[in-house]
Amino acid sequence: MKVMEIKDLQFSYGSLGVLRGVDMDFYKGTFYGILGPNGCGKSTLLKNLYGYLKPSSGTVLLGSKKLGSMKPRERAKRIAYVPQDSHIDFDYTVFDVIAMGRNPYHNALDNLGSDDMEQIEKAMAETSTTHLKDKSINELSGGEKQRALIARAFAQDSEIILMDEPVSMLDINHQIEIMDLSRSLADRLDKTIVCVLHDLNLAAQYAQHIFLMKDGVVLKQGLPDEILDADIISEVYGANVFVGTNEISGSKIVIPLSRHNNPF
Amino acid sequence: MKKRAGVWIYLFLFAALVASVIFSAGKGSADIGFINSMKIILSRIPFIGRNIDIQALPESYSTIIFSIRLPRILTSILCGMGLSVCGVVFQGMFRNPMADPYVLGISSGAVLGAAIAFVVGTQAALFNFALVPLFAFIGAAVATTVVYLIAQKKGQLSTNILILSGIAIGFLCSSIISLIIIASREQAHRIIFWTLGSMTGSSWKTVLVMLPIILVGTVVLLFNSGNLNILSTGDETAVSLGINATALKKILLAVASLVTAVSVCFCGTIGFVGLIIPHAVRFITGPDHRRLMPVSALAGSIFLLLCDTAARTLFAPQEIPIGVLTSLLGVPFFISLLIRNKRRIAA
Repeated sequence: MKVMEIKDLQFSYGSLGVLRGVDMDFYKGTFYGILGPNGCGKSTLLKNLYGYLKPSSGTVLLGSKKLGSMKPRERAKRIAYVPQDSHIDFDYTVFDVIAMGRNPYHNALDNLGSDDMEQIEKAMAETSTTHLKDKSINELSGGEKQRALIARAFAQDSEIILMDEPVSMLDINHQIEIMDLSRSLADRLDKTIVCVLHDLNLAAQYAQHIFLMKDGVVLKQGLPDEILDADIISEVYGANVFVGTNEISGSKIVIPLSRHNNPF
Repeated sequence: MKKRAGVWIYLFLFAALVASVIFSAGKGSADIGFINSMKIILSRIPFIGRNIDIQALPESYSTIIFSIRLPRILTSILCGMGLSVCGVVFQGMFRNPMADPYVLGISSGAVLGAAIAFVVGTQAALFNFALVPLFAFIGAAVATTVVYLIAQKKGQLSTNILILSGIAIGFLCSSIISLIIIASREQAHRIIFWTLGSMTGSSWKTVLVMLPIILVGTVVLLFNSGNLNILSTGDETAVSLGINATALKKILLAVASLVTAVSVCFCGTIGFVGLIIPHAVRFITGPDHRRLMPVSALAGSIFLLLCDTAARTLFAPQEIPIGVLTSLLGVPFFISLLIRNKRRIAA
């Protein structure tokens, strides 16, 4: 089932065109990876989807509803977002942070109802953050903090969760933990995950469908095995790479080649 | 956000506020004392008053309390409440524990506005009464906007630049105020009085103007305390959680500037109240603005009332400007915060 459709989305900062006609379709319960070199418009695309930026033209459809015509709270019930920068300046408890995910469902002065509590507890259980709930968000490790922010997005009870490089600041053990968690949200709970990624190998391992962007358009899209091709990557990134197969996972593996001692 | 416990703190602070009012009303060059002061105030309260006999006390005591001390007490309470709540709002909105109306240059902007109003409208007295608050508000709003615009980049605010631009704008305003002082001799002492901060100008008239604006402003800000929680985690997050961050910030900025301006135009610049109070209160309530804000409002009114009582009695008959007193208390506090947050601020 199609949950979101982006048609000819354009966005510019002043006269600088950042997104120049993006078309994408998203289906339920699928993990999407958005890849592309720095400045290709990946993060800007996400910002246009969760309402931080307004598209210059084009439409985003959520089912039959246009994103642009939705009220902020209504939109937040459909699309959640996990930011790249997880820093929070005040010492809110983990529970408080996760509970903020219920904001779209009630007035800010209302107390949490039983629906809210149920969803929050589910979010904490799914992300294994229940035991952390009374701790300050700033006492957590990077991986725990990212889990709490995923829990907040989960508490929004939206069909789509956007993630902007959720693991770029984490150690590899936490990278795997967060990627496993995100993928399981798609596989087990039918969430549509749209994840901007830097690391081609993580995309190869976790994404079910890849959009490869360059200069504000989608250059290629398809299965990781089709997209992660040495010629395509060198065209998009301007880097020589070797693409092989990871013998353990069976997914593609991308190794950048140095300009020195290049055997090819 | 989870427990509703902690009602005791409101009760305790309310009792402390009432006690501070009675204490302050009894303290001064005419030493009325706590018990007599309580009797005199209670005698004016319907029903209870009938049973209180104040015949034995000099009639002048009543006049001193009701005509002189109580308006000043209420002015201090309103001013302390307004400045503390604004401090909470600025800290939450700018995501910066060092923000306060004074540090951000907003108070100086309001004084500059008031100073301009003195010079522009020296003729009609009635006109002046409306002109000074209006100009103070415009000054506060312009200063807030300029500081914000300097510090923001694509909606992100830098801690360093925010504080530095606030200090810079504060200096700029102070320089222009000095120019105005030099240029207009006859208004000079009034303007200097404003820059130091003092409650000596308070009367029932000032209370009548301050009361509705500060109370309504505080209620509006209290209604937004839940939104402020979410805004304090960052603009992008707030938007993704269904908050119209730009509209919310405009409302908060306008209301907080108005409350600051009203406090400043009747009491002058009183620095650091908006910094000390929210910090101290955060230790007790935690960062949840829905508790932090009302508790700060109460704590701030008690704090400023006691400061003012100290300012007028410590070296009586000489009065210390209250702004000097709060700065003496606030600067060491500010420096200790700087030291504690050193690593974070450098980042």
